Amino acid sequence: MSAPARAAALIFPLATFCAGPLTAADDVSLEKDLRSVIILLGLPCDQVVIAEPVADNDHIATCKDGNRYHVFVSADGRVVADSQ
Amino acid sequence: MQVLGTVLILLISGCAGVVETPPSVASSPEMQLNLAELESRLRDTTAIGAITKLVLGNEASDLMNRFRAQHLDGRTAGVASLRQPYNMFILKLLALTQDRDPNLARSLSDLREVIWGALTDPKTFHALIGH
Repeated sequence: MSAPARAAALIFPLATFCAGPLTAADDVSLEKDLRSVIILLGLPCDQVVIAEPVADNDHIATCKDGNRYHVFVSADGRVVADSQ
Repeated sequence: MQVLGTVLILLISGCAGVVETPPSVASSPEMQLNLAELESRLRDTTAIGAITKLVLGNEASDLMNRFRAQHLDGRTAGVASLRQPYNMFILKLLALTQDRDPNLARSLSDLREVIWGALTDPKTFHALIGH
């Protein structure tokens, strides 16, 4: 693969994360992971203080500022954060 | 302060418009090695949580679809309009990695223009997606 093609392919590895099972990231706690997700989805959350597992890839996140979200992976592989 | 500096540099360079990557830079053996390594490091980094990686994966797919649509449309200006969302995507990666995996963040920053150059080149892009 040429360098430019490989460069463009760099954007794909992230997409491939959707394909496999989630693996724990040693450096990032579930609370921090959920906060990053909520922020990336454009929703407010200063800090996740409670992360309640509902099922695999399915959590209720309670933020310090009182916001509460149902964070889950939808059937089509997209991560959703529904305000509760 | 370092975070603010990185953000400002990205914003300023993003406002400067499309920056062409010199072919000699993109095709150098050293750069190829760096890109392969970066790809692996992005997959393996523990600086980004698993669910966050899923969100980024969704965003990467969406962004690639936008590049695909613009390339099919055939207007160079349309691809250039993706500079801001591309910068935002890279900015998110930098924000997530710069504290816990600063070497990866630095590599991402260094290769940002090379990746952009590949995504905006129709020939390279179509070869990549197999169209």
